[in-house]
Amino acid sequence: MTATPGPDCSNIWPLVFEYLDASLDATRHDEVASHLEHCLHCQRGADLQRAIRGLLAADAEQDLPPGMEERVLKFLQSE
Amino acid sequence: MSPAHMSLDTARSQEFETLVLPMVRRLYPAALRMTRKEEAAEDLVQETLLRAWRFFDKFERGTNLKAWLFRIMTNLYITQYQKAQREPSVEELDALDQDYEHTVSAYLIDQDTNPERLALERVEREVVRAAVDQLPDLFRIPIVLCDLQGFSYKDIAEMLDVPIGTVMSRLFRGRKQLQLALMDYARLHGHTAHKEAAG
Repeated sequence: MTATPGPDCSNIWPLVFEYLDASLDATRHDEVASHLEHCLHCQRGADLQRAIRGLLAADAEQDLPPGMEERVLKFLQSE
Repeated sequence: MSPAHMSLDTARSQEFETLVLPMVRRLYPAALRMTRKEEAAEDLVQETLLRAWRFFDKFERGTNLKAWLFRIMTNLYITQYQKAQREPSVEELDALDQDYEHTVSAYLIDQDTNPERLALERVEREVVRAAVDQLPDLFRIPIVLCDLQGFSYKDIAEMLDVPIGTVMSRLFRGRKQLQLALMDYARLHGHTAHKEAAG
């Protein structure tokens, strides 16, 4: 396994986002999966994207500013 | 929210409180990444809830409430806050793709010699937020909806009222820009060095 890109990588790269979103059809999904198995370069590229997703998803829920819930409810009741 | 704060007493408002109000915790972080300002984010959430309250009868019970609320919020954001933006040209997209592939390749090869410094998993939340905030609306909104909130391409296409292919190209372009920004950050600062410097 090598970390430098091989000849197949440029065909696989454009599919990696869809692969990670589980949005490829079965044939293409398997194609990307088997490429990733033996290509360290693309594997790391995919890991990089997964890491970024993880960082983003950590912000899906967060604490509200102090008093916001009360302000929201007051606003709704006043309308 | 404690029951003491609730003074709405009809069945409809009780249902609203039970179903919709807990979603504020999901709406707010997305609103914050859309508007990039706390005050504007709170206003956007309030307006979203007001609209949701007014149209609550139209919400089909049993369908995806979160998607319904995010659709309302995204529409409000686009009509009230977002300035018109043009789609990128084919040349611009090609240039980004090339830049992306080169930078990622170089980065991945550098990782062999400096894996600690380049581990993106260690980037601080604030850095990620700042990188998202720098994206243009056109690409930031699909990222917020997909990567923060986990909506499908199809859900996002309905929220933005554009074809799925448009969602995908905006989303992928946004991800590439975001990844480039974070890789640059890691290369310049390195997380270990950054953490030590911060105290």
